[in-house]
Amino acid sequence: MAEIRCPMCSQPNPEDAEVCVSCHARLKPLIANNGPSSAADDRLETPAPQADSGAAQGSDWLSRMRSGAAEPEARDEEQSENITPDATPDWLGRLRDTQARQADQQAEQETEPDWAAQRASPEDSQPAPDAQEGEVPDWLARIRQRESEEIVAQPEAPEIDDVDWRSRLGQGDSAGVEDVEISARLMGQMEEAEADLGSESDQAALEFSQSAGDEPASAGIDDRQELPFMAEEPSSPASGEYDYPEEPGALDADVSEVELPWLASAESQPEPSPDEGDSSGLAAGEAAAFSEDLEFEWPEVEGLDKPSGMPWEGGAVAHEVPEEPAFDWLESSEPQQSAPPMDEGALPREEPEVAPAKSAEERIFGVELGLDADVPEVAEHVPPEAVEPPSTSALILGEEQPPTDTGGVDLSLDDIDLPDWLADMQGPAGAPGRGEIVDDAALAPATLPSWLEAMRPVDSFRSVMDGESADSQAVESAGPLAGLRGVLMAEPVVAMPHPATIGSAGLEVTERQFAQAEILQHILVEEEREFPPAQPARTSLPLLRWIISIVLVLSVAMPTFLPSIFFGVFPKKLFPDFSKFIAVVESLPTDAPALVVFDYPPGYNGELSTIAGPFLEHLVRRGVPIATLSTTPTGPLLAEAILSKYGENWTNYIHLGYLSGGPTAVQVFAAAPRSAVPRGFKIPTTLQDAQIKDGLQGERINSAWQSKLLGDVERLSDFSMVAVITAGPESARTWAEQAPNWMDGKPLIMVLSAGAEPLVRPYHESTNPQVQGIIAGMPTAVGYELYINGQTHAAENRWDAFGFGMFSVLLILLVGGLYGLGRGLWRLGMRTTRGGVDD
Amino acid sequence: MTELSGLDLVGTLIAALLTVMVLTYIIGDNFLFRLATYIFIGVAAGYAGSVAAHSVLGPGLFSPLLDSSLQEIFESTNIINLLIPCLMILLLTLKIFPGGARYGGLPMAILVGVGAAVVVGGGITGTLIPQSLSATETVDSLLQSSNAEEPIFERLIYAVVMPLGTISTLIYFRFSAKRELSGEARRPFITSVLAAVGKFFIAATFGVMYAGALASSIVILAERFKFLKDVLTMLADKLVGG
Amino acid sequence: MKLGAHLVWAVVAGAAGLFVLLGYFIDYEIIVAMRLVLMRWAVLIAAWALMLGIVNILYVHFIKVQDMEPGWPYSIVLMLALIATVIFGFLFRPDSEIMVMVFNYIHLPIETSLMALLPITLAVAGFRLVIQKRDWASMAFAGAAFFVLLGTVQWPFFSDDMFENLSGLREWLVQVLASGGARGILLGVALGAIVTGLRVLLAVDRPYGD
Repeated sequence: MAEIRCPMCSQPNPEDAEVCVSCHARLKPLIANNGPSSAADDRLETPAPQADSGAAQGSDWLSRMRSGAAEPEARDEEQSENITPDATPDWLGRLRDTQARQADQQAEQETEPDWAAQRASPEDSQPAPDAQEGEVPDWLARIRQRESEEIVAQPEAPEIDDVDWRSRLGQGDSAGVEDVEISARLMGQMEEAEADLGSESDQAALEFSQSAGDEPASAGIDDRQELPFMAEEPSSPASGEYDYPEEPGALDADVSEVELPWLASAESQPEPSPDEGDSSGLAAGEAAAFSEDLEFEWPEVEGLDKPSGMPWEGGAVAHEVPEEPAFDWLESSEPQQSAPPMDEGALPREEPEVAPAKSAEERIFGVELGLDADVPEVAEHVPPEAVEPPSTSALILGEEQPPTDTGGVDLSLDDIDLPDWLADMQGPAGAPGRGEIVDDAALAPATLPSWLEAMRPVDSFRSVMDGESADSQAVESAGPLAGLRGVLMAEPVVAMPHPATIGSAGLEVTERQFAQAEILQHILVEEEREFPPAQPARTSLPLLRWIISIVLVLSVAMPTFLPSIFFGVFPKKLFPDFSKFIAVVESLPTDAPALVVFDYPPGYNGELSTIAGPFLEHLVRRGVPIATLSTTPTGPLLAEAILSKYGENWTNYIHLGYLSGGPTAVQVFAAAPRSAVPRGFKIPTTLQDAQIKDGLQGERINSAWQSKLLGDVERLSDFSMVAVITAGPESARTWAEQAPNWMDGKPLIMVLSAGAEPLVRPYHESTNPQVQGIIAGMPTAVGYELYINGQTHAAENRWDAFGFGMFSVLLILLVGGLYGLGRGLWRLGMRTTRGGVDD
Repeated sequence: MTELSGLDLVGTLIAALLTVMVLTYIIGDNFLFRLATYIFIGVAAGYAGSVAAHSVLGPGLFSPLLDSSLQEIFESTNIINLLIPCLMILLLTLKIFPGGARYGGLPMAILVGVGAAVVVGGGITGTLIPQSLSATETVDSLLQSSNAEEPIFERLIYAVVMPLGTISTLIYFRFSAKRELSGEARRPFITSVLAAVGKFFIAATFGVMYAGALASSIVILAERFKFLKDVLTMLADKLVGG
Repeated sequence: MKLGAHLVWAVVAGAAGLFVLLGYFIDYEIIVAMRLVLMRWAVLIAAWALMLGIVNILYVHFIKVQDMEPGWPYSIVLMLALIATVIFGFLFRPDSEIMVMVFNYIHLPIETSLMALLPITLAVAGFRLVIQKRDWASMAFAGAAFFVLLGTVQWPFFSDDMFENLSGLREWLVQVLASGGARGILLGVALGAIVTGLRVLLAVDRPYGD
């Protein structure tokens, strides 16, 4: 089953639904489809299947309005019989009837206002333009409802009175006024024209309004409360009921105050040509012109319905009006009564704007011409060829396009003499003038005023827009929505780059920047360049290393394994530093221990044990107690290994142990030695009393400080000397920086490896040296041994090996230097030769 | 080599074997050399830890804590000397755990702060001031030489070379330069000249240090061969002597 | 680490360093006492850090064995040697005969042998230097080394006068030329150490972590 999309909320609805199930918006057009319609009606005519539903819907709301107004249906039927629904607009039909009536009544009632007469003769009241039930526009229904609430309901059904169209207009009783904007303007103009209208105009208005047909009762639409412009209005009267004055004359008194001079002048206007004019542009004044003086006969054209739909029309063909209002805001709180159906091609009902006060409405109702004066504006809003975009009225009525064929009916009202103010409001040229009846073919679907359109939901247009099928929709090819259908194309708008609209400033690049840019580009190119897989590194024999190793090993090993004294000649001249060192050692007291720090790794034991051995032996021989200390964990073991050859533990020497913490520990030891190394290292299990400090004999010895050697040492200055045996300049620098300030002038001497001597010598080479003595290297060791022993021992064993090793290294450096020099000269010669050849 | 006991003999043989394993590196990197080095690292690390625990932590922290009663522990002196260091050690231990690493910041802050202060104080009082004074005193030595036997020429050279070497070496490590218009950074001419002289002094100093290191290492190599010779001799004596 | 704790560490390091530094210049009883206390704490913390370092060595090599990374058998040997040494040290004390034997027969020969390989490396490096590098700085380096080596030993093929000249040259190179450069190096090293220490005390550098 096909679905209809609600123009308001875009919700799908059954095909035969007249109102939306969700928002209760009208789904069917307001144009009543009562038969062959005129050209104008065709534009407003809904398509065949829709027309039926629209007609049914239109009839529903209009009928509801009628039932509320309690108008006799017979009057509607009578109205519908008089005028072919599809041929002429309602208002024109009513106008015709009014003319006929006026002609009849004029003779009878000359003094009585037409509208009063019409009120008194309800049987003469013209049927509502919407002869079919349920086709009264919402706005009209609301107006009527409001009237019914304000005015005591008439005992009888209100006669078709042309003046009533104003009340009907105010109550929301739709009688063919399609443009809400026009109604708003009408309201305002009505007030202006009140003073201008005369009794005769009132009479004409009354007659005209009578001809408009028996408007049904209020459709029951209480839009007054819903419509924003009607928010301040009092509650609408009972649905479908006109709020007619109690006495027919009561309204006349109000209406009579209004003068409509243009209406009077319009009376003398000739009958407009049936071929001209536009039914939608028929102004009230023009309608009034169709009063008794005007004989307006709508031509009977086959297939065309007479225009109808104007509230002042008498006997107008009832238009099919959807039962439910097309707009959400037109939705009434009360069940709508079927509005009189609208004729096909008739102009859609116009929703009135904010209904004025009762008094104003009453005055307005008497100003027939004021309302009619805006009718041309209705034509203005109805384009002659309303094909695209579909007009709002067409949407209301359910038509996609307004009917373009008016069936040859001349609806032009140009021959109608309109007042100036009405003429000014006729709109652009080309619009049907006064009295002109726009050809149905040129009729454009009515459009809503801008303020009304602005209030409409955007989705209301969706129902008339042909949605693209899924297959015909373009497929997005770029962006995150790639592959989806029905999305906004990004590329033309977003993805496509567009040149900068602002001209770019010239870029000045210096040579340096250009060079840097080239470098960067080169780097980037290199990054992308594919490099061949790295070839496996060729393994080459370390021949150079092997040769040098063999030379060195042989030079060192052979003197070791083969007893020889090749370098048997020992150095005759001792180094100057040696004398200073010896002098320091010789000056040491024997009642205070000398602190010897073993701060070298075991790897240097081969050299430093050779150099420090004679020194330690010298101390032991002099009887100087030795206290060993080390900032390395293996230092105490090294000290024991060396000193055990020259003395006895706890007799000649004692081990204080390991001092952890680097320079900080040296500071701690310098300030408080006992707390820095509380225990000691390698305490003998058995001790003699002579080895123990006085007063501690017999006690458990678990600390080196209980030894007699250390005596009353409490600070670093209590030691007679500090000797540091080290292989690294860092350790020597640490002791040279941290210790002297705490030694109170006691000597600090160092036994160094040959490699550390250059960086320690500056501490010694000064007038106030921080290091008072330095010995370093194998030659010094040999000389020291010779000094204290008169002969050499360990140094001697290694002297030849040392000599030959040094010789081999010198040879290696010499050969390498000569080779490098020769190669360089050869290359230089080659370069020179090549350069000479090139020249 | 003196007579060795059985255990010492075994140990000596092990030492000789390890020595040979290491000396095989002369040929190239091999399995024996790596095995010997990994053994060395394990033994060295284990011994350092045992010495630190026995010589520092034991007598300085754990033994006093264990020997003191609960009441004595909370005395002000012991709080400062024992409890707070225990707390610091505990916090430092948390540093090896990812969740508690942040708590080890306090003991590390104390350690680093104290160490930095010691370095700064020692550098100022032990090197910066004395060595600066010594550098200026070399000029006085030209006039007042402690060694009167030195000829004047030598003293002159000494008085010129020593401060020149000191100043030029310091200037060599000054890399502040002015950027030229061409974008190249250049030092002033005087600075460049002195820096070049300083570079010469530095090279000479390193050459002397290189010679000393070479001499030391040759002695060590000789000592190793001496050891091997002794071991071989001992073995030969054992084998021959029965 | 939040900003608050970070500042606390910086304040602690700065305050501790300030007390120790003032002790170099001010002989005030409270400062000396605080200085000593802080340094003792640092010594104990450093010793415990050494223990933690040993634990870390075990952990690293354990992971290496667990993941069977290249060279994992050597890691097993290392761990065994470490654990055995630690056990012996805790059981028998580091100054016991067993530990002395472990040191004398394992630790000492290996490290000494490693150092004995140094002359070969130095000789190869020197040879390559004189072959490839022929700038004046390299020449100064090689020349100083050559003459120092030359004047160290009394060569049999040299006369005594030659030896005295050579030894005199060696002395001058070591005591004058090298000492001048060494003093400049020492001053530069001291300045660098002072600046580094001040950066730590002023919390510019925070090696103790954030």
